[in-house]
Amino acid sequence: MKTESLANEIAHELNNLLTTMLISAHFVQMDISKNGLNKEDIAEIVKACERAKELTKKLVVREDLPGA
Amino acid sequence: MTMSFNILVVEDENDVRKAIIKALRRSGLQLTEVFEADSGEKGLQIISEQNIDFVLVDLYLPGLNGEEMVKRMRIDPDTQKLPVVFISGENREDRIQMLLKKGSGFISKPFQPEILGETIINMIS
Repeated sequence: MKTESLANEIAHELNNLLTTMLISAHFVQMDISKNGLNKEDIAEIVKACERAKELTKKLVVREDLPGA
Repeated sequence: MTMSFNILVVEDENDVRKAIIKALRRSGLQLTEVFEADSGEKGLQIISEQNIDFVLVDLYLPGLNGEEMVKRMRIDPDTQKLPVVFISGENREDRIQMLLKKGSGFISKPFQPEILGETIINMIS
């Protein structure tokens, strides 16, 4: 498998994982706000997901670029 | 006037599909029913059998991919105007713009759940 294809496949899988994490974390964050639990940890999960999302953008290799 | 929708979610990854459906159910949208398919072929079959109002489809599916599925919808008079939003990790701006120019919406994975309801409302209104 070419390096760019592998990187794109990893980015695709990572984005799917992050989608599930981000949606679940968002709802946990909403639900626990009612019973006084510390929301900071969950907020960190949401932030980490957003950072990972930016990371995957760097992983996707432009196959249409010369030399890619 | 309150609108109620039949929505179809086409996504091959089971966990992602379930998460999208959960987000739809908590979006505040009035949903009559949420249909789900794990392939483009099954998505087209559901569209032909049910009264679908809106389609959310993963761009990259095994077999008939999301783009091909929507191409087939667009040549069928019964489904050519059905609103569609692609959900994908695709971040090449030229590809995204091409999909938007064809009248479809686009949501970039991963996404905050509230973007689903906002996008659907924007497209229908």
